[in-house]
Amino acid sequence: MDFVEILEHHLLDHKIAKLFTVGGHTFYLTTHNLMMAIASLILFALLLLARRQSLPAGRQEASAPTGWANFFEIFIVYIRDEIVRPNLGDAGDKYLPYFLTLFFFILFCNLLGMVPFGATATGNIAVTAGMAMTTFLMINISGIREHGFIHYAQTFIPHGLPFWLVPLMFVIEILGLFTKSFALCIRLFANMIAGHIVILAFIGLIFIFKSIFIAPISVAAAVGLGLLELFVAFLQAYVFTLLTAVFVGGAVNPQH
Amino acid sequence: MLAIGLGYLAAGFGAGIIMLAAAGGIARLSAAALEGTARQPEAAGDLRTSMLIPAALIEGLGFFALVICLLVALTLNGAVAKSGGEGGTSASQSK
Repeated sequence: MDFVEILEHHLLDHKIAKLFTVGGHTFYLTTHNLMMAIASLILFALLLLARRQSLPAGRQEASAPTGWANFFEIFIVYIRDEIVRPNLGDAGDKYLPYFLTLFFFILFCNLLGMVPFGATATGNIAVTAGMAMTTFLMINISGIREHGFIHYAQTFIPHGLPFWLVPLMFVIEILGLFTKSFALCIRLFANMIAGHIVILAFIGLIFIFKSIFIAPISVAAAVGLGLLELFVAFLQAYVFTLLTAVFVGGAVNPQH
Repeated sequence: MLAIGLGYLAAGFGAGIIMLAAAGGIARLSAAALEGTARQPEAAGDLRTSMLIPAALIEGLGFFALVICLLVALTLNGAVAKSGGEGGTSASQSK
Protein backbone atom coordinates (compact mmCIF):
# COMPACT_ATOMS: atom_id res chain seq x y z
CA MET A 1 0.00 0.00 0.00
CA ASP A 2 1.53 3.31 -0.87
CA PHE A 3 0.96 6.58 0.96
CA VAL A 4 -1.83 7.88 -1.26
CA GLU A 5 -3.78 4.66 -0.81
CA ILE A 6 -3.41 4.83 2.95
CA LEU A 7 -4.66 8.42 2.92
CA GLU A 8 -7.58 7.52 0.69
CA HIS A 9 -8.53 4.58 2.85
CA HIS A 10 -8.63 6.62 6.04
CA LEU A 11 -9.91 9.98 4.88
CA LEU A 12 -12.40 9.31 2.11
CA ASP A 13 -15.93 8.01 2.32
CA HIS A 14 -16.55 4.31 1.65
CA LYS A 15 -19.83 2.65 0.78
CA ILE A 16 -20.99 0.00 3.20
CA ALA A 17 -24.46 -1.04 2.06
CA LYS A 18 -27.08 -0.05 -0.44
CA LEU A 19 -30.10 1.65 1.05
CA PHE A 20 -32.68 2.56 -1.61
CA THR A 21 -33.03 4.01 -5.08
CA VAL A 22 -35.10 7.10 -5.78
CA GLY A 23 -35.55 8.26 -9.36
CA GLY A 24 -32.36 6.78 -10.74
CA HIS A 25 -30.18 7.95 -7.82
CA THR A 26 -29.01 5.30 -5.35
CA PHE A 27 -28.44 6.10 -1.70
CA TYR A 28 -25.79 4.13 0.14
CA LEU A 29 -24.90 3.73 3.77
CA THR A 30 -21.33 5.05 3.97
CA THR A 31 -18.82 5.35 6.79
CA HIS A 32 -19.39 9.06 7.31
CA ASN A 33 -23.16 8.50 7.20
CA LEU A 34 -22.79 5.86 9.87
CA MET A 35 -20.59 8.13 11.99
CA MET A 36 -23.14 10.94 11.86
CA ALA A 37 -25.88 8.50 12.87
CA ILE A 38 -23.74 7.20 15.76
CA ALA A 39 -23.01 10.75 16.92
CA SER A 40 -26.72 11.56 16.83
CA LEU A 41 -27.62 8.41 18.76
CA ILE A 42 -24.96 9.09 21.40
CA LEU A 43 -26.22 12.65 21.77
CA PHE A 44 -29.84 11.48 22.06
CA ALA A 45 -28.94 8.93 24.74
CA LEU A 46 -26.72 11.28 26.77
CA LEU A 47 -29.10 14.21 26.59
CA LEU A 48 -32.12 12.11 27.60
CA LEU A 49 -30.07 10.83 30.51
CA ALA A 50 -29.04 14.37 31.43
CA ARG A 51 -32.64 15.50 31.30
CA ARG A 52 -33.72 12.70 33.57
CA GLN A 53 -30.91 13.52 35.97
CA SER A 54 -31.79 17.18 36.10
CA LEU A 55 -35.44 16.72 37.00
CA PRO A 56 -35.75 13.92 39.53
CA ALA A 57 -38.95 13.63 41.53
CA GLY A 58 -38.20 14.60 45.07
CA ARG A 59 -35.38 17.11 44.69
CA GLN A 60 -35.32 20.77 45.71
CA GLU A 61 -35.07 23.38 43.00
CA ALA A 62 -31.80 25.07 43.85
CA SER A 63 -29.35 22.20 44.13
CA ALA A 64 -26.45 21.76 41.77
CA PRO A 65 -26.86 19.42 38.80
CA THR A 66 -25.17 16.03 38.85
CA GLY A 67 -23.82 13.59 36.33
CA TRP A 68 -24.38 14.19 32.64
CA ALA A 69 -26.63 17.15 33.38
CA ASN A 70 -23.64 18.81 35.00
CA PHE A 71 -21.42 18.04 32.03
CA PHE A 72 -23.83 19.42 29.46
CA GLU A 73 -24.75 22.41 31.59
CA ILE A 74 -21.20 23.76 31.32
CA PHE A 75 -21.46 23.91 27.56
CA ILE A 76 -25.08 24.97 27.37
CA VAL A 77 -24.71 27.86 29.80
CA TYR A 78 -21.49 28.97 28.07
CA ILE A 79 -23.14 28.97 24.66
CA ARG A 80 -26.20 30.79 25.95
CA ASP A 81 -24.33 33.46 27.89
CA GLU A 82 -21.24 34.02 25.79
CA ILE A 83 -22.32 33.22 22.24
CA VAL A 84 -26.05 33.55 21.71
CA ARG A 85 -27.13 36.34 24.05
CA PRO A 86 -24.33 38.85 23.30
CA ASN A 87 -24.81 38.48 19.55
CA LEU A 88 -28.54 38.03 19.19
CA GLY A 89 -29.80 40.14 22.07
CA ASP A 90 -32.29 38.99 24.65
CA ALA A 91 -34.67 37.73 21.96
CA GLY A 92 -31.95 35.26 21.01
CA ASP A 93 -33.30 32.53 23.24
CA LYS A 94 -35.62 31.30 20.53
CA TYR A 95 -32.58 30.54 18.34
CA LEU A 96 -30.85 28.70 21.17
CA PRO A 97 -31.93 25.16 20.16
CA TYR A 98 -30.37 25.60 16.72
CA PHE A 99 -27.04 26.76 18.08
CA LEU A 100 -26.89 24.07 20.72
CA THR A 101 -27.67 21.37 18.17
CA LEU A 102 -25.02 22.77 15.83
CA PHE A 103 -22.36 22.91 18.53
CA PHE A 104 -22.94 19.45 19.96
CA PHE A 105 -23.31 17.77 16.59
CA ILE A 106 -20.05 19.22 15.28
CA LEU A 107 -18.28 18.46 18.57
CA PHE A 108 -19.35 14.83 18.70
CA CYS A 109 -18.65 14.25 15.01
CA ASN A 110 -15.16 15.70 15.46
CA LEU A 111 -14.50 13.62 18.56
CA LEU A 112 -15.71 10.40 16.95
CA GLY A 113 -12.90 10.84 14.45
CA MET A 114 -10.39 10.48 17.27
CA VAL A 115 -11.76 7.16 18.48
CA PRO A 116 -10.09 4.01 17.03
CA PHE A 117 -11.99 2.67 14.02
CA GLY A 118 -13.91 5.93 13.84
CA ALA A 119 -14.08 8.29 10.88
CA THR A 120 -14.44 12.06 10.97
CA ALA A 121 -17.79 12.88 9.44
CA THR A 122 -16.97 16.58 9.44
CA GLY A 123 -13.86 15.74 7.42
CA ASN A 124 -16.12 15.26 4.44
CA ILE A 125 -16.71 18.45 2.52
CA ALA A 126 -20.29 17.40 1.74
CA VAL A 127 -21.13 17.33 5.45
CA THR A 128 -19.60 20.73 6.19
CA ALA A 129 -21.18 22.15 3.04
CA GLY A 130 -24.55 20.92 4.28
CA MET A 131 -24.03 22.62 7.62
CA ALA A 132 -22.88 25.82 5.90
CA MET A 133 -26.01 25.75 3.76
CA THR A 134 -28.10 25.36 6.90
CA THR A 135 -26.34 28.42 8.33
CA PHE A 136 -26.98 30.31 5.08
CA LEU A 137 -30.68 29.49 5.27
CA MET A 138 -30.73 30.41 8.96
CA ILE A 139 -29.20 33.84 8.35
CA ASN A 140 -31.62 34.70 5.58
CA ILE A 141 -34.76 33.22 7.13
CA SER A 142 -34.14 34.88 10.49
CA GLY A 143 -33.42 38.21 8.78
CA ILE A 144 -36.53 38.00 6.63
CA ARG A 145 -38.65 36.90 9.57
CA GLU A 146 -37.48 39.78 11.76
CA HIS A 147 -37.62 42.58 9.23
CA GLY A 148 -39.72 41.50 6.28
CA PHE A 149 -38.18 40.89 2.87
CA ILE A 150 -37.94 44.52 1.67
CA HIS A 151 -36.30 45.84 4.82
CA TYR A 152 -33.98 42.87 4.95
CA ALA A 153 -32.86 43.54 1.38
CA GLN A 154 -32.30 47.16 2.36
CA THR A 155 -29.83 46.13 5.04
CA PHE A 156 -27.48 45.12 2.25
CA ILE A 157 -27.08 48.76 1.28
CA PRO A 158 -24.76 50.45 3.78
CA HIS A 159 -25.57 53.99 4.86
CA GLY A 160 -23.45 57.07 4.46
CA LEU A 161 -21.99 56.30 1.07
CA PRO A 162 -21.74 58.41 -2.10
CA PHE A 163 -24.55 57.33 -4.42
CA TRP A 164 -22.31 56.07 -7.20
CA LEU A 165 -20.71 53.58 -4.78
CA VAL A 166 -24.00 52.00 -3.72
CA PRO A 167 -24.39 49.42 -6.56
CA LEU A 168 -20.86 48.15 -6.02
CA MET A 169 -21.34 47.88 -2.26
CA PHE A 170 -24.63 46.07 -2.77
CA VAL A 171 -22.94 43.46 -4.96
CA ILE A 172 -20.10 43.12 -2.48
CA GLU A 173 -22.52 42.60 0.40
CA ILE A 174 -24.43 39.93 -1.52
CA LEU A 175 -21.17 38.19 -2.38
CA GLY A 176 -20.15 38.48 1.25
CA LEU A 177 -23.24 36.50 2.20
CA PHE A 178 -22.07 33.55 0.13
CA THR A 179 -18.43 33.97 1.10
CA LYS A 180 -19.23 33.78 4.81
CA SER A 181 -20.97 30.42 4.48
CA PHE A 182 -18.28 29.11 2.14
CA ALA A 183 -15.57 30.13 4.59
CA LEU A 184 -17.38 28.32 7.43
CA CYS A 185 -17.55 25.18 5.33
CA ILE A 186 -13.89 25.19 4.27
CA ARG A 187 -12.58 26.14 7.71
CA LEU A 188 -14.18 23.20 9.49
CA PHE A 189 -13.38 20.72 6.72
CA ALA A 190 -9.73 21.69 6.35
CA ASN A 191 -9.07 21.81 10.10
CA MET A 192 -10.43 18.30 10.59
CA ILE A 193 -8.69 16.81 7.55
CA ALA A 194 -5.32 18.44 8.11
CA GLY A 195 -4.84 16.90 11.55
CA HIS A 196 -5.54 13.42 10.25
CA ILE A 197 -3.29 13.85 7.20
CA VAL A 198 -0.34 14.88 9.35
CA ILE A 199 -0.82 11.98 11.78
CA LEU A 200 -1.07 9.54 8.88
CA ALA A 201 2.06 11.08 7.34
CA PHE A 202 4.04 10.58 10.55
CA ILE A 203 2.97 6.96 10.93
CA GLY A 204 3.62 6.42 7.23
CA LEU A 205 7.20 7.56 7.74
CA ILE A 206 7.84 4.27 9.54
CA PHE A 207 6.83 2.38 6.41
CA ILE A 208 8.63 4.70 4.03
CA PHE A 209 11.93 4.38 5.87
CA LYS A 210 11.26 0.67 6.56
CA SER A 211 13.06 0.97 9.89
CA ILE A 212 11.84 0.52 13.45
CA PHE A 213 13.98 3.35 14.80
CA ILE A 214 11.67 5.99 13.36
CA ALA A 215 8.87 4.54 15.47
CA PRO A 216 9.47 6.37 18.80
CA ILE A 217 9.62 9.75 17.06
CA SER A 218 6.61 8.99 14.90
CA VAL A 219 4.48 7.70 17.73
CA ALA A 220 5.43 10.60 20.01
CA ALA A 221 4.58 13.07 17.26
CA ALA A 222 1.30 11.25 16.58
CA VAL A 223 0.35 11.43 20.26
CA GLY A 224 1.19 15.12 20.46
CA LEU A 225 -0.75 15.84 17.28
CA GLY A 226 -3.65 13.79 18.60
CA LEU A 227 -3.81 16.00 21.68
CA LEU A 228 -3.69 19.07 19.46
CA GLU A 229 -6.49 17.59 17.39
CA LEU A 230 -8.65 17.14 20.48
CA PHE A 231 -8.19 20.83 21.21
CA VAL A 232 -8.93 21.71 17.59
CA ALA A 233 -12.13 19.60 17.71
CA PHE A 234 -13.51 21.71 20.56
CA LEU A 235 -12.18 24.96 19.10
CA GLN A 236 -13.65 24.40 15.64
CA ALA A 237 -17.06 23.52 17.07
CA TYR A 238 -16.89 26.71 19.14
CA VAL A 239 -15.74 28.87 16.22
CA PHE A 240 -18.42 27.52 13.85
CA THR A 241 -21.13 28.19 16.40
CA LEU A 242 -19.73 31.61 17.28
CA LEU A 243 -19.44 32.78 13.68
CA THR A 244 -22.94 31.52 12.91
CA ALA A 245 -24.21 33.51 15.90
CA VAL A 246 -22.36 36.62 14.71
CA PHE A 247 -23.79 36.33 11.20
CA VAL A 248 -27.33 35.60 12.38
CA GLY A 249 -27.00 38.49 14.82
CA GLY A 250 -25.90 40.73 11.97
CA ALA A 251 -29.03 39.77 10.04
CA VAL A 252 -31.42 40.02 12.99
CA ASN A 253 -30.27 43.40 14.31
CA PRO A 254 -28.07 45.04 11.70
CA GLN A 255 -25.98 48.03 12.64
CA HIS A 256 -24.49 50.39 10.12
CA MET B 1 7.75 17.73 -18.18
CA LEU B 2 9.27 20.99 -17.10
CA ALA B 3 5.83 22.54 -16.93
CA ILE B 4 4.52 19.83 -14.63
CA GLY B 5 7.60 20.12 -12.42
CA LEU B 6 7.16 23.87 -12.18
CA GLY B 7 3.52 23.30 -11.30
CA TYR B 8 4.46 21.07 -8.37
CA LEU B 9 7.05 23.62 -7.29
CA ALA B 10 4.41 26.35 -7.37
CA ALA B 11 2.03 24.31 -5.23
CA GLY B 12 4.72 23.70 -2.63
CA PHE B 13 5.92 27.30 -2.59
CA GLY B 14 2.38 28.62 -2.36
CA ALA B 15 1.69 26.54 0.71
CA GLY B 16 4.94 27.71 2.29
CA ILE B 17 4.27 31.39 1.68
CA ILE B 18 0.77 31.10 3.12
CA MET B 19 2.23 29.37 6.16
CA LEU B 20 4.58 32.33 6.68
CA ALA B 21 1.78 34.86 6.38
CA ALA B 22 -0.68 33.00 8.63
CA ALA B 23 1.93 32.26 11.30
CA GLY B 24 3.05 35.91 11.25
CA GLY B 25 -0.50 37.16 11.64
CA ILE B 26 -1.36 34.82 14.51
CA ALA B 27 1.98 35.56 16.19
CA ARG B 28 1.22 39.29 16.23
CA LEU B 29 -2.24 38.54 17.63
CA SER B 30 -0.97 36.42 20.48
CA ALA B 31 1.84 38.90 21.23
CA ALA B 32 -0.76 41.65 21.63
CA ALA B 33 -2.93 39.41 23.82
CA LEU B 34 0.02 38.45 26.03
CA GLU B 35 1.06 42.05 26.44
CA GLY B 36 -2.47 43.04 27.35
CA THR B 37 -2.67 40.22 29.90
CA ALA B 38 0.65 41.32 31.39
CA ARG B 39 -0.60 44.86 31.83
CA GLN B 40 -3.97 43.88 33.24
CA PRO B 41 -4.34 40.28 34.42
CA GLU B 42 -8.06 40.65 35.14
CA ALA B 43 -8.75 41.07 31.43
CA ALA B 44 -7.13 37.73 30.59
CA GLY B 45 -10.40 35.93 29.82
CA ASP B 46 -11.74 38.67 27.51
CA LEU B 47 -8.40 38.97 25.76
CA ARG B 48 -8.23 35.26 25.23
CA THR B 49 -11.67 35.19 23.62
CA SER B 50 -10.84 38.20 21.44
CA MET B 51 -7.64 36.46 20.38
CA LEU B 52 -9.21 33.13 19.53
CA ILE B 53 -11.75 34.45 17.05
CA PRO B 54 -9.32 36.26 14.71
CA ALA B 55 -6.87 33.38 15.12
CA ALA B 56 -9.51 30.95 13.87
CA LEU B 57 -10.38 33.26 10.98
CA ILE B 58 -6.74 33.64 9.92
CA GLU B 59 -6.27 29.89 10.24
CA GLY B 60 -9.31 29.51 7.99
CA LEU B 61 -7.59 31.63 5.34
CA GLY B 62 -4.50 29.50 5.67
CA PHE B 63 -6.57 26.41 5.07
CA PHE B 64 -8.16 28.00 1.99
CA ALA B 65 -4.71 28.25 0.49
CA LEU B 66 -3.86 24.71 1.60
CA VAL B 67 -6.94 23.39 -0.19
CA ILE B 68 -6.00 25.33 -3.33
CA CYS B 69 -2.45 23.94 -3.29
CA LEU B 70 -3.79 20.42 -2.73
CA LEU B 71 -6.14 20.82 -5.69
CA VAL B 72 -3.22 22.00 -7.85
CA ALA B 73 -1.11 19.02 -6.80
CA LEU B 74 -3.92 16.52 -7.37
CA THR B 75 -4.71 17.97 -10.82
CA LEU B 76 -1.04 17.71 -11.70
CA ASN B 77 -1.12 14.09 -10.54
CA GLY B 78 -3.89 13.49 -13.03
CA ALA B 79 -1.95 15.26 -15.77
CA VAL B 80 1.16 13.21 -15.06
CA ALA B 81 -0.83 9.98 -15.16
CA LYS B 82 -2.38 10.97 -18.47
CA SER B 83 0.89 11.92 -20.18
CA GLY B 84 3.04 9.50 -18.25
CA GLY B 85 4.58 7.73 -21.26
CA GLU B 86 5.72 10.81 -23.18
CA GLY B 87 6.94 12.59 -20.08
CA GLY B 88 9.22 9.71 -19.16
CA THR B 89 10.63 9.43 -22.66
CA SER B 90 11.43 13.12 -22.98
CA ALA B 91 13.14 13.12 -19.57
CA SER B 92 15.43 10.23 -20.56
CA GLN B 93 16.17 11.90 -23.92
CA SER B 94 17.05 15.29 -22.45
CA LYS B 95 19.50 13.63 -20.05
